[in-house]
Amino acid sequence: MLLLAALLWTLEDRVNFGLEVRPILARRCFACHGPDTDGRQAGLALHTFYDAAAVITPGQPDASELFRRIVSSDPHERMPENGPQLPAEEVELLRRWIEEGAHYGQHWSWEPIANPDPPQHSGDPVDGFLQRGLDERQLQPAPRADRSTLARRVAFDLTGLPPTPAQLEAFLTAPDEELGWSALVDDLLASPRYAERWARHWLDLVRYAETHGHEFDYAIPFAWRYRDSVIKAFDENVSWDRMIAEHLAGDLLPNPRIDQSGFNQSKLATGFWWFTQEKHGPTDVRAEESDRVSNQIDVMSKAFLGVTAACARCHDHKFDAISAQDYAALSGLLRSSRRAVGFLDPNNTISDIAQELQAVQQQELEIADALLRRQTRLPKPKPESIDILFDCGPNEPEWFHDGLAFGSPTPANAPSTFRGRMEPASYSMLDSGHISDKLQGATRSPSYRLTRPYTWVRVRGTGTIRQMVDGYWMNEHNALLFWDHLQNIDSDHWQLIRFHNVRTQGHRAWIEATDSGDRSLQIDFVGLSEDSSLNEDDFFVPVQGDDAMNNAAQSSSVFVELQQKRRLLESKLPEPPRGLIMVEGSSEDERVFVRGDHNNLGSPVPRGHIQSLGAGSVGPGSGRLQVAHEITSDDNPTAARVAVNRIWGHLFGRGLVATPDDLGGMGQPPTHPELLDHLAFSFRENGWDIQHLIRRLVHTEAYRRSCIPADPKAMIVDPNNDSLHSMRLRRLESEAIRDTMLLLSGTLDESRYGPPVAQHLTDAMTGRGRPGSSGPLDGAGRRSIYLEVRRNFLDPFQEVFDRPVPATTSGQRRETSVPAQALAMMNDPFVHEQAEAFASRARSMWPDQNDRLRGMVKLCFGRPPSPKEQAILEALDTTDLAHILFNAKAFLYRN
Amino acid sequence: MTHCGKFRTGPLTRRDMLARGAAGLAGAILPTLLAENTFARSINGITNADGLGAKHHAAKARSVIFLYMDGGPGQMDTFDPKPELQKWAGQPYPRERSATQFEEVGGVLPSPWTFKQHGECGHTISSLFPHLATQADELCMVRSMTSPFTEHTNANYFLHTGHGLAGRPSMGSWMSYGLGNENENLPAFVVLNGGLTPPGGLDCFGSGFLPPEHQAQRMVPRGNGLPNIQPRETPDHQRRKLEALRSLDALHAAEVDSPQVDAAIKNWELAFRMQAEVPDLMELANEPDWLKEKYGFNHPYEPTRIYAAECLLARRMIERGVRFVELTCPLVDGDRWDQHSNLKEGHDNNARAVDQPIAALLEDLKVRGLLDETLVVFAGEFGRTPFAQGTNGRDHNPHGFTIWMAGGGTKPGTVYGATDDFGYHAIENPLEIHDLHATMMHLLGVQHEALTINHGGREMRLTDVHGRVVRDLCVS
Repeated sequence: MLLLAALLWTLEDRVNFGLEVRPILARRCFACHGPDTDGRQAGLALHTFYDAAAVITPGQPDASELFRRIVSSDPHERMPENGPQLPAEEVELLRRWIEEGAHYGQHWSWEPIANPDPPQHSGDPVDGFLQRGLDERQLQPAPRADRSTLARRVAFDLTGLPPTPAQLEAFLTAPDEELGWSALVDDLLASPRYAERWARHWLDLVRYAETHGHEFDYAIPFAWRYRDSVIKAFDENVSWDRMIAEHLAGDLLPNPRIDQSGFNQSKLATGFWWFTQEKHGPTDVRAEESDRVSNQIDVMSKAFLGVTAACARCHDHKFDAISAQDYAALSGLLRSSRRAVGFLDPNNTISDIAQELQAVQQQELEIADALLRRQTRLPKPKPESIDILFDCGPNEPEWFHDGLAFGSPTPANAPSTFRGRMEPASYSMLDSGHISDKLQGATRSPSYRLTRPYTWVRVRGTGTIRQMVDGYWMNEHNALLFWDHLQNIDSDHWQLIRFHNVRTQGHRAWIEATDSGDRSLQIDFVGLSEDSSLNEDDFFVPVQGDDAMNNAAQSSSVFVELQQKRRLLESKLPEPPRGLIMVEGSSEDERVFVRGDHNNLGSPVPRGHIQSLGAGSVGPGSGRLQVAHEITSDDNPTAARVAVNRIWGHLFGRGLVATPDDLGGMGQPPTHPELLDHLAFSFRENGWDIQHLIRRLVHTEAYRRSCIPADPKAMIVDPNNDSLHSMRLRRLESEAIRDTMLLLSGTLDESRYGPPVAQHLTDAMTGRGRPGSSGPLDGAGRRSIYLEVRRNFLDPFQEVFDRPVPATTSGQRRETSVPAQALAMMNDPFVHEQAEAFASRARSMWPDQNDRLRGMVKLCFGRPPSPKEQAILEALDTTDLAHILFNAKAFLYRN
Repeated sequence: MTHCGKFRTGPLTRRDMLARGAAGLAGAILPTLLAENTFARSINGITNADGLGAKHHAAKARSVIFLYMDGGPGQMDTFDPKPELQKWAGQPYPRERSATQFEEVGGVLPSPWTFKQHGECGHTISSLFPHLATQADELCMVRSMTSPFTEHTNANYFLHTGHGLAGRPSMGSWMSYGLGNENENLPAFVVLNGGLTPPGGLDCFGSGFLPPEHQAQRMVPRGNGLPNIQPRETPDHQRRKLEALRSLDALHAAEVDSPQVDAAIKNWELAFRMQAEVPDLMELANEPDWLKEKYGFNHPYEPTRIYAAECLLARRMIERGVRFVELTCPLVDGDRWDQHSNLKEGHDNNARAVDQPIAALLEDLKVRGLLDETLVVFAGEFGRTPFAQGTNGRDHNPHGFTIWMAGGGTKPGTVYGATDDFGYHAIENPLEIHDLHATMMHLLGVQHEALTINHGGREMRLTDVHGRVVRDLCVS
């Protein structure tokens, strides 16, 4: 036993490569001697022993060129070249590491998650691990905070609002503090307020916004349905790994999450891919796509993997094992997927009716078929000047349908209906009225290359035909440069429409046809041509034979009956709701961008996950689902670490890794690596259960410590409070401040979900894209998560209290301290309005002035005023009192 | 976070407030409400200087205006003429070179602009800066600046904080910490945001481990500068309320003993005083039209008009005693100075935005006798390569680039250091950013080794363990 302990002790005492050495090499050396082969100097790399063997002699620092160069006194020899000399403690670590054999490993966060034995401790192992750090620093932890402080702390941390008076009272009077605490925590976790609070944390990760920014700040359609899907996920305590799967591939999950209104929430979770900043009229539309994909990869990899994979767009990652190939592999997932403002079908109402309609249709067609035998169309060869891409026939690659309007192609001469008239189809075609004119939906063609100057589409009916080039959609807001790529069709006759490809030769495109009304849209073919003018007459095929069919049909009693049945069913069809989602497209791998240049393409890379974290290529299809599973598989060490670190950070004010979006070489190492692994391991064991982990963490002693250090030397030995010798005092987040003022004023409207409340506009908020009218000053009393997020008109109150700008993943809010915050609390008309409402509510609740003062302070601080406080506040009238309480630091901070 | 006990604490800490009680508020706020303009000019008037102990010698400069050139202008296109580039135009770079950020290395790229000598000192300045050229005799050029970082974010942190990663105090925060403010009614460190935030974000302006009240207040160069500056009640009424608030907060501060709460309390008091001062600061109606014209207020190019307002406001701020004003660049058509391609168009636009306003600022400061006590610094995070990126751009080059200073005790008309024939590496008197910081602090009367704060058991300073004062850049 003793021997084992000694062995463990020595093992621990060794320099840890992943935690201690690699970060130094990454920061100091990898820029020139790292994984990126292109930037490499003198052919030397230091990230693997194989590469570094020439300059490292294990066991002998002084015989190692690496060591000699970093300590050299000759400025021409000393490394890093041109950089500052390594600090003595780093030199010493490198010396010891070489002396101990220069053992290489991976960066710490890429090592498998260990299940370290917790230290001997009577409480939760979390406290045991933390105690070890305190013992090392010889620090005494702070004692437990008093009950009212604890109640206020946990209520703000879990719900973003103070505890209700009932919750507070129950906890304060609980005979057993432990039982009372558990009851309070359970109550808070079960509250809808919990989901709204923690969903907001999640929205920071996915740069949630409802406009695209740039010049005119165009709207992101139905973004709020995504926001609601996240709130509902926290409502239902959906597991973290499941949330990742839904985000990456919710459209492909076999058992999607259906909410009470019947909406497929898993599908809506994919909306996060599209909260990108978007320009209109890009001169280089492929560059635009590359920027978008880069942001998508950036957000996905930071949010879920804690790595900065977007760095590898232009070069192998300088500090982490992510190559430009890996970036291309991830890009391939997105290249094989598409944006859709999808046609939703809650409760399958539409598809149920559509099934019945299809039965009617079958019978109609049987009658029609017999009649139509008397009619025919003689196909004629298409002119040679056009290359047909899609003839919309049965033997072609399938188009991607969305909604129920489009389906299998109608073969040539098969019976079809157009504008209520039955006829044999001319050529084979895609027909949004193939079951019913009333069904809505879209269809998207497989991808093709723009190898000719013109794309031609032969269409008839009512709807929209678009040519999507490199996924570009912003011409729906502003036609600049792509004016002809979106054409509205409303025609009883076949017509040829044309898209110019002159500026986009060689680019990738697809056709998107949308029928969002109650008339049908038909597509005969899509082709490419050198010809700028084609004649519809060359394509038109007249009907041959007897045209008595429609009269015959109308007179048939069976047919009339069927028509009545059809009309009845069609009248029950609801308007399909729409939602912004990701859907599958043609499978296509991406090529490496040589030096980040999308015009300089290297070889294609099979789409898939980052190689060192995944199992290689994926398919068929986009591969998003497989990668989602790989991310959360036991083989991937990063996702669970990222998850527990984020949850820890929201409760303790800072993650065990202070850079929660980057656990890579440029991030900070963990303060408690074993604790992090212990938590990650058990999180996975517990099925990635978020509430379980929150419940556990708030039950630790560490969470319940006072903010005031007990040990006088605590702030000297550990000024950053890495050891958590006391709880970290935190300013309330922007949302918590605003929501709490509404709550106290009695004007908080706790209705949930739905379209956002329009942004209130101040005079200072000027610029292009400014909405025509302002939203209400008080945001209609809704919680802040339901207020509109317009990128170019971000809420000044939220901004000044550090809500992050929605550009990329932001897992750690800054807590700035600037006079502008004081100005907001002192002078913002919203704060005044709320103070007045709080005052008038208090006057009616407590006619007695003394009761009122005590009651108001208790609502704001979670405790009654001290005699000194009472003496100070007595002089104020109630409105002033309300305003001052909102400005009080005891209100704005949670301790 | 706590002080090591070596410094005098600021006048508004919890303990002081407790000692003074509620009466302290009136003492701090009343005079500034009553007096029109109470800022103190003398060193003795310094207030709120936590690190005052570091002041060691007579200062030349009282305040700093930092003209941050976002993205890194090319030295060979601005202030460091390299005729050799013409000889090698289009040919492969003939010498050994380091890796560049993008490694899309093309042939040697001569500057598209012409250079001429200007002023009595004969500074050679390119045709990008026709207005600034008229102020040539004020400029103290450093043609041998270097940085260890080729990437924007690291290089920006390094330029701003002396460290390549986020989390250290910005130089403006150090100045605020060390020297305090000369105007109790304005923040000591202001970033005037022209539109662009440097890569690296707000951490470039953070106070790191210094007390949080030393971080920059961002303002915009229009309107009221920041929202909610207008009180919604009479001064008397508001003051009565805030006196109660101060007393209330003092009790809380005493209980939690937190630097964040202490900083917040100071910010509330500063905000109160700013209400009177900021509208006056932002009111440009009394500035003569001819002067605004000179700055570029009527310039046809919008970014120039924005930068003109920034420069004029910077003068008004340092006049009022703000210690450190940083101006960030306006967004021009295309990118900031970071021309990886289309050098000609991009540098033209960026120079067009800043040239006239900066020239007017220097002249205005001089006329008012303020230039001697105002250190103006013009610098990007690095320079650019002598060879092309692609065909018509330049990549990042931290190995040798030009920055300049003016006023504040710098030696006018000086050229210090040199790069090689191609303008690639600093070969004569190479300087580090740490040396720039040390020299700036020296000009402000501060020994850079002495202005420290104990953090985690170590005495931290802006120049880390580096930096030397370059006396050749200073007037004796």
